[in-house]
Amino acid sequence: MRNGAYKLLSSICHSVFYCILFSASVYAREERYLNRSIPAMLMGDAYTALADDEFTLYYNPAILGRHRGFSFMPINPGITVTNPLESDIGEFGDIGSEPSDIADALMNKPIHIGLGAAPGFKLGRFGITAIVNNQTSLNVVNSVTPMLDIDHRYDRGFIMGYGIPLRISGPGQLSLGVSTKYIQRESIFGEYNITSPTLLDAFSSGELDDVLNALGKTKGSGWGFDAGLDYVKQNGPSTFTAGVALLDIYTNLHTDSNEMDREVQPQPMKLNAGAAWKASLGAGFDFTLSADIRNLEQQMEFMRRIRLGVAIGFTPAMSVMAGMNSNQYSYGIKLNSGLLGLTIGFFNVDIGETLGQQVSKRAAIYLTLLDFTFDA
Amino acid sequence: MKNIRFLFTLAIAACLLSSCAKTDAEALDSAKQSAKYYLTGGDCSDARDALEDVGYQSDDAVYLSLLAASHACDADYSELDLFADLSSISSSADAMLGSLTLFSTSNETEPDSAVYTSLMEAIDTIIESGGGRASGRNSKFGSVGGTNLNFQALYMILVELGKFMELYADAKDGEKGGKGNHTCFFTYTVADAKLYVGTSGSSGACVSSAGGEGSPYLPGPATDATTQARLCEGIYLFNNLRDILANVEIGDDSSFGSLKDISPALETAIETAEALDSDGRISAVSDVYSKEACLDLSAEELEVWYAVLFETAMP
Repeated sequence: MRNGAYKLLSSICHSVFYCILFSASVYAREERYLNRSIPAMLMGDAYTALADDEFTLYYNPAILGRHRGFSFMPINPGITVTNPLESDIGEFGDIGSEPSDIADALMNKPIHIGLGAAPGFKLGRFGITAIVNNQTSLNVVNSVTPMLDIDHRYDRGFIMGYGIPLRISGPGQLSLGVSTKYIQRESIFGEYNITSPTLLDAFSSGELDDVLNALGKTKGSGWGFDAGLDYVKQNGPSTFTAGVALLDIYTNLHTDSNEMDREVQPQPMKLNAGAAWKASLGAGFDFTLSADIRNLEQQMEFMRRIRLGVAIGFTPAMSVMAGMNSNQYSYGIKLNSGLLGLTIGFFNVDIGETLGQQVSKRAAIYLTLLDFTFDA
Repeated sequence: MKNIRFLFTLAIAACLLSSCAKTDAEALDSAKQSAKYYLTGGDCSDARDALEDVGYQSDDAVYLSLLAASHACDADYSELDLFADLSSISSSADAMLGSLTLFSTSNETEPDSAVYTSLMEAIDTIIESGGGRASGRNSKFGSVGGTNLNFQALYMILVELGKFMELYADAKDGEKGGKGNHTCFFTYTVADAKLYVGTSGSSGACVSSAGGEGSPYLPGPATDATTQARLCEGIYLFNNLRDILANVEIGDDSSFGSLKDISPALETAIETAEALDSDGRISAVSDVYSKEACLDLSAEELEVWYAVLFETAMP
């Protein structure tokens, strides 16, 4: 046992060492996931080994291997916005109407709004989840020739997957999971010179849809695939989980023809690994620690890969969570009254080109309604 | 335990086997993002360093725009300042050149200042792309990329030409010669140039060619080569202004003020000047869009252009 623990520690150290060694360069900006769980974001998004909920198929399909019975998650809307407590909303109200006034007021103040949901069900080790996700981020940069960076996408579709236990007996359960997805995407992605007629004409073109079209909205659709491994071992009140997820191994979105000949935003492959430990101490009190190492498929600063999270459940009705995501902190509270759950919190997202260069401060609200599970 | 080790070994293997270095496209994208960030904070040289680290990218409109912006940043230039001043531009040929000096950013008190030179470098970065013409940039970079570059150059040319007029035309409150130091750009020596200024009837400040009426920063302390280079800068800025205005659609947004009315006024002024100069020298110079081509022009052609166009047709 001691020899095994030593070898495990050795493996982890080697993993960390090699990731640092091969992380001389940086490739960053906000990472583009298909969807993120708001409770996960509030614990640093360290969720690859924890996502045993409605977001399983967005994090690691192998976690379906743990599921028993029937779970139904019909209504779970989430909203993320620029943190109103940390942005100068008052300034925005008196922003002026000229492009120069607007650019001046919004310079280097990232704006974000996201609306999403992940309704679905799990039946045994099969799961299916709808994709409904609308994310828009705006950022005015470059005070010499002001540019509006727009990153907007609206995804619809579904993911379905299956978890296959590779070994159930013995000290733990190892599962393999696979999933397939169909995505319809609308996206606008790029930089627009604020003082150029391209942008000014777009904003004066009337209805929102006309504005989006004038900015070069593109549509596309396609299929994608994920795979993962999940390990879970329960020992009395403590549960250890670990997982590796290869998301969007092959997700190919075909762009519809469009006047500007733009490509729809692709969905990049991600290779993530994570581990978590949960202690249930009785009377509804539990304690969870989790960690992820992300983006193993590309070179980047080591700390940019790291996600750390902690959650403390005081009663089944209330838990608090906190985390660190690429050196950015998050915290929140989750209230649960059976068929109604409410999670609120704040989190920061590193959106710069290098670690800590620029941060988007966000608030989030997440609601779950009528969730239920029948154990087999 | 073996299962966990298997997972981590898999992670290590994946990290080693598939951790990809940035492709050239990713490195370029990263450099542009960094440059935008540095330009947001006014870190001009950091922005330029980030761009130069990936090498000069002649085919990327955003790269060129940011590289030009990094030079303009050295001049403490911002399009936001200019946009607030755009309404002061006159679309009348009689007042247009002088009105450029009304911009808050157009003040200039010495020739070849660091600010003037940096802004000129920014303009050069864009003008020299796409074959040196606005239509070439539209063709090479597409409607969005070409339009963005052309407008970026247009705005900087307006400011730089304003500085040029303030210094070499001694302009004050939008009036050439308004400061009272001298009345003309140049103390003309070519007979035809002296004739146009002295007898052909300029309605502006420059109505005499008796001697000593020109800018002290042109012949005299400056060498002939420096004088020619400075005169060519005015021609280069003016002709590229015409070229861009003729190849962009300005639209109806009120932010642009009377910008879209300038192009017809400039072309009318050229026609007026061509009518005054029957020897075709105005026509020849009006087709010059690069500094190199301008330096090949004769002193006579330069003087006639200034006397006929800048002093007479656009007083």
